[in-house]
Amino acid sequence: MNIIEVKNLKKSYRKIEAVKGVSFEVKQGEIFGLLGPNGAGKTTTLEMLEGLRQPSSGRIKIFGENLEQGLSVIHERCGVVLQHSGYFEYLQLREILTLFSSFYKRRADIAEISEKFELGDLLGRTFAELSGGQRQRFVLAISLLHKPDLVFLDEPTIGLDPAARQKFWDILISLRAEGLTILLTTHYMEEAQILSDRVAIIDDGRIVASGQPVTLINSLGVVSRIQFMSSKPVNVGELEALPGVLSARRDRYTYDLETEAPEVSLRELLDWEKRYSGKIFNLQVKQATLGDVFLKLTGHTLRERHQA
Amino acid sequence: MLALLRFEQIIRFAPDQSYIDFLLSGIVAFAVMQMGVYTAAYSLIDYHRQKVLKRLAVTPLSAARFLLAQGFSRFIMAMIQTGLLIGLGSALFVTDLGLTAIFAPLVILFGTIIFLNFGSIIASLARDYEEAAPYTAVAGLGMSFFGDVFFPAANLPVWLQNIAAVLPMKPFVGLLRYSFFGIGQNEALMNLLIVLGWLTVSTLAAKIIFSKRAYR
Repeated sequence: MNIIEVKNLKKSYRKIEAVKGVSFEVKQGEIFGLLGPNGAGKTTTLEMLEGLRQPSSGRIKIFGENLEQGLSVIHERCGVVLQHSGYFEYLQLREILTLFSSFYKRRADIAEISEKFELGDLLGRTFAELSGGQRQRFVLAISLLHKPDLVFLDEPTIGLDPAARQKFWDILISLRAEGLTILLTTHYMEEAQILSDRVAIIDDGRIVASGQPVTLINSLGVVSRIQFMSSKPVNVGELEALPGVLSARRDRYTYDLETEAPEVSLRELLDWEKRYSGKIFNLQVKQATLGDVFLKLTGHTLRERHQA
Repeated sequence: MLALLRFEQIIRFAPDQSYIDFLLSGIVAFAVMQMGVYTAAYSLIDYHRQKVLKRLAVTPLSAARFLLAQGFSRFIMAMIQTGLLIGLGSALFVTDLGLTAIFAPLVILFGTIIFLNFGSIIASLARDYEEAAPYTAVAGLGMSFFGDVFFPAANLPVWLQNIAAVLPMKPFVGLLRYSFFGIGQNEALMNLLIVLGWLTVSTLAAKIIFSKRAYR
């Protein structure tokens, strides 16, 4: 059953077209990831679904209701973690939880939520006094106060250290196990790959591919990548000529070879290094990722887009 | 030296009022206006910039209910403030409150909502304090000087009196004076109508502008 149906959604700001006709569905109980670089249109799409922005055209249905007609019902049944949000700075977490709980008909037990998200010792603090990881746990807890059926998470782990990010992922996986539907935006391909049942890859306001992460990766026909750094500049053409190598490219200081036979290409690369006047280091062999899917489909990496 | 100076009363009052009665009501109205226009505008700008309003906008709490809650909390503050001012003024200057004072809370509620609406409209149009400052100055100071607050508007040029008569401050102060001290009974009904008009128009405008521009 589809919880969200988005059809040909567009959003323009004067001459800038931020979202150029996006369509996707989110099924009940799945984690659906919108993966793309900053500025691709992920947040704009999500904010249209949350009712914060008016679409220029297109249709949004959530729980079978058109967004415009059923916004209050949708807000009652949805939890939201915005990319940037603030809370009353002079209130303690306990008071903020009590205040937000009062907005909903369905209410969870604050003590239970606090325990689940390990906020018990923090309830007497203000939001400004929390660390990055604690803040994200708190904003997730507050979005789940009213036991929603669907949660929107906009770049929820941005700025978190690896340990806090891992902890946040564990919480999301346990929420999915409880049957919650989650729509997540991220520009971390690893996050999308680990968490999402299905992803839509978005670039420049358009969805360029969608499906299960494994299916998308397999559809590339690329099984591995060999990456290394070099003490001297290398002619990319030389690398492309190595047996088994499908393509080679340079990304800042790293050389990146796409290969269908990593063991052959690796041996050939090491032989080539003996003839080469420089040295190669940080040699790695990697499985293909959603980042490779993105690269293949758009011609640039997530980071290149971010820098542009 | 003193012989060179001549003092003359240039401010005219109605025969049934003293300057203390006049000023006390004016100060109460000024305080209500300040809490609405200035405090509300700047705190709402803070909420907007800190993305508190955006977070509230994705809950079932509507912009209208949020403004209503703001109005209610400010009304309680305004009542405490008024009690202190009138209590202190009466104790120091021996003024007698009339029976009509029972209407004062209602008048203060109307004023609180009108000026909160002004503040929320300013907060919706201005992106930061710097941009809000000229709006609040025009709204706040304009109404204070021409609104029968510190001196009677009857001393102003006629064209300014006509403008002051249709702004919300003068009829609001007029209603306060009537409710506290029974002054200006003849104009009370007209003042009430103007205040109710401002209440309706400013509430509608604030709801629309605040929902569209700030509460998101």
